[in-house]
Amino acid sequence: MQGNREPQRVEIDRVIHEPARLLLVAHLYVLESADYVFLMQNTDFTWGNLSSHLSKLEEAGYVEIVKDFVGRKPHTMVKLTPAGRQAFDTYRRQMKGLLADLPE
Amino acid sequence: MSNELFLAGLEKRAWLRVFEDGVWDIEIGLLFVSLGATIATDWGALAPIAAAVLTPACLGLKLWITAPRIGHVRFAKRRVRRVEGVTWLLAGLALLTSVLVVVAGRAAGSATPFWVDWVRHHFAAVLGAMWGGTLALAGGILRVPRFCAYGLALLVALVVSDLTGAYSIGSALMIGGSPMALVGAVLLVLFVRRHPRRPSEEGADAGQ
Repeated sequence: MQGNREPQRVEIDRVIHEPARLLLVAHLYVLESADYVFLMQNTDFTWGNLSSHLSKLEEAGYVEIVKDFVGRKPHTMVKLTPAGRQAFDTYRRQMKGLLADLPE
Repeated sequence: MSNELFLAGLEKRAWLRVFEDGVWDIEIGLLFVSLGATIATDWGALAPIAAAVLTPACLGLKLWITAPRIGHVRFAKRRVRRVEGVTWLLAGLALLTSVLVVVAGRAAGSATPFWVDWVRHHFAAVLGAMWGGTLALAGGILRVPRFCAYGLALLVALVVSDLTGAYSIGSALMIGGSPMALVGAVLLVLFVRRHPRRPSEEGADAGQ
């Protein structure tokens, strides 16, 4: 019977769900890669804030942080891993489904 | 951090930010101005010297002014393909212009096809259509509308030169190129004011 149907539980990925990290992952989803300065410029995060969120995303295996040098200056590029891309796709699908089911 | 999330159009905003500094406007504008000055003064070395100086200078501006303020970014393949398309378009334009200069420069004779005579008589308008059209097309492909306006301005300057004969092709190129360089210079000043230098990774690491 339809009335007794068990409501479906959805496990939301909390690593991506946090608004600051959602913004970072969304940026990296649409770009190939970006450095810290670009991400700071586009998100208004401070350096410490950005580092902390990127570390959490890196721990989850969602971003890859590549450090190299441009001339004698350190330069870090950040890229979404395939796992991060898949996690963001799943998150999008889940959120769309959840919000679409809400009554008016 | 801003509490507002604007995810839609995020990639487009990042893309447009790359053109916000006006550096390419300055380079393209000054290239047209130098080409016009070359034609107007008959000093053939001016345009090649300008091209040889301007390209590294603009790359230097990107490296020393733009990158420390907005950082480095690599765009997805879709955008990269558009840039490659514009590069091919410009290469084709250079080739077509060379062919046109050779064809129009040939001595007139009874065997000359009518269209060669027509191109020779309306050389300014043909250049305007080719270069202005290409610039506008590049603006469309790259999604930077002001480049379409530059293309239109160049077309108008060259067509008016052709129809009225009020000024030479060299002057028309300078008239068409000057606004691009000026707009670029204004955009660069605004860009530098709007975006202060971000702390370098070295500085940030030392501060932590």
